[in-house]
Amino acid sequence: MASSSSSSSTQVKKITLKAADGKHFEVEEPVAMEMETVKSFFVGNEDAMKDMVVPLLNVSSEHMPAILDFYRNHSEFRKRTPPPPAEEVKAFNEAFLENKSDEQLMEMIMAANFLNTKELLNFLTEAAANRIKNKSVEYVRAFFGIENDFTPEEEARIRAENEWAFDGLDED
Amino acid sequence: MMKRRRLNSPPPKDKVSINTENDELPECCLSRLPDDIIVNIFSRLTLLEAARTSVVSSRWRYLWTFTANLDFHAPKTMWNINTKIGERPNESEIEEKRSKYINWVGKVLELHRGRYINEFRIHFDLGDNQKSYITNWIHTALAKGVQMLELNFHRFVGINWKEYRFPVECYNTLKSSHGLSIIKSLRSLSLKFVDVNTEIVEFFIYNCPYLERLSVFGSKTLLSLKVAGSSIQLKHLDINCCHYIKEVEISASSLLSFKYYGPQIKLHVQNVPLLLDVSIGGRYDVQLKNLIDPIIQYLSQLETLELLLDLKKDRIQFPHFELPKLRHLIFKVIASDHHNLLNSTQIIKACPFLHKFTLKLICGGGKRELHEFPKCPLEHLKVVEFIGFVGRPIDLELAFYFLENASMLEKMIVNPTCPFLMGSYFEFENSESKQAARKRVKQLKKRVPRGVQLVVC
Repeated sequence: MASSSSSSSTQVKKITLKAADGKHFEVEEPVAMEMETVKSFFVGNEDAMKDMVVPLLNVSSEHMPAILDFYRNHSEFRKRTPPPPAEEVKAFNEAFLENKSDEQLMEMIMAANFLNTKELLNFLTEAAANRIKNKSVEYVRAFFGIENDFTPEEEARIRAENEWAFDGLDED
Repeated sequence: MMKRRRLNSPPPKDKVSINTENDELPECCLSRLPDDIIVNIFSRLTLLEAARTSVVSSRWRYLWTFTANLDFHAPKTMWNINTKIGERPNESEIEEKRSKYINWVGKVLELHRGRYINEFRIHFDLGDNQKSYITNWIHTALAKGVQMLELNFHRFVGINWKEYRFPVECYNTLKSSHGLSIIKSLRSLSLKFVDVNTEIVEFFIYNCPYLERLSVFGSKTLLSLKVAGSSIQLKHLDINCCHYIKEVEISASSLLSFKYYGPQIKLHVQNVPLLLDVSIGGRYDVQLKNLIDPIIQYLSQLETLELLLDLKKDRIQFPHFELPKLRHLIFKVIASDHHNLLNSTQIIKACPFLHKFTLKLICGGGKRELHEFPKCPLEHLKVVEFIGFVGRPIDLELAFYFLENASMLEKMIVNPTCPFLMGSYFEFENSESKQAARKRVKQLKKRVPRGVQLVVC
């Protein structure tokens, strides 16, 4: 599933990507070029270097299949005329996020940031925002894995400074 | 070769420890999110949600002030005024809320450290007395490259007892060469309860090359509008409740949606090959037919159509037209209980691929028996939505009609909030009429077949 070598066409050039934990992924060139980071690897060296393995130091192999699947589907959505119905895109996006833990989401955001692909990054940050909407400060801390380093007095003072943001908020 | 080095560069030094069961994950994947990503996430939260993160940790204390989303809309905190629908609140109480709101906007703008503002929205009962603040805010937002600008001076109660004229000084500054350069970033402009005249609105249309969305609501000084030209990128045009408008002329090849609600006007529409979404109608002496005739040649390309009908004036009589591409039909209806909305089903028949039907009902009280509803297969209809649901014969019989005829129906959404109150200070008020309507949903429940989800809002 991880590799796309099952593709019957031998015409499409493949690029090999190496995830952080050393696993290799053969990816069709147009899909690989969705990632600015991969694209910039070849800038000025198009022919000479296409057989090279591109190391992706910040991307775990765990997330590669899902990320590549996102690129494949969304580039197809973009090219299609007429554009796909909103429901179809929504269904794909929802399925993509289903069963992803907060931690996995965070890791994928880091991966998308490293791969420098705006579309995936914005999609994932939107998903993260949706998960913390209307949530308490404690929930947000846990979500991002952050320790509270304020003393209770400091925290109370900042709450008072930004009182408008907390006013009318239901207590947990 | 600089770029290659980036790939091989070491992972960021600072890490936070996150417990993970997956020992195989390399440490670099657990690095904390960079600030710009966190700000990206904040910009998708409301301003209040973003500001609450100031107490998460010392590193986060001021991160929220980089948010690109400054939507000053806080119904729970700012609109909390002790009044009921139809009653005019105490003026001194409003004045107090007003200064609280102005302080809030001023303080946040002072703290804001982001270089850009994507969205800037003011939504409060303000007027000419607050002109100097408002002009300052507009300039600050434009200077930070705002793309979506909305001024909404919705009154707590009533329509005309307070006014805000788009200030001449502000317009004069925008006409200068500096002004012309800073408005170029605008993609969406929404002016609600702001008196702007034709000259100012057209100034934005013809000088903002990326303007895609324009909405003018409740301007008493907009008398006509011409949106015509090959350079215009406008995709969405919404003219609503401008009670003195006489004429609208549109020739805009990028236009996707056009919404008009107001008095009878001379409407000229041509060269709108991409038009997909139309919402049209009026409340007073408007004959719907007179507004539809100028766009009749474009009806066959529409995917969404909203018709605003005042049944106290009009009878539902539609000219015979086909809507072969229509997927969503919306009726916004002002009616009394003795009216029969089943008459509207004839237009539903003219939409063979209808996917969704929405009724927005504004209806006074009254009693009568249920009418028989016609049989008519609706093969593609998946979603039916009732906003302003009253649960009396006028909408119940229409609901039964859909439950009986739409064999592929997946969802029926029932919301008792009056469409007029949507987005107003009273949207979430749990009024008696709403509670009564919620009780009447029971009658629907009995008839909802298996496989159809009934959602009560």
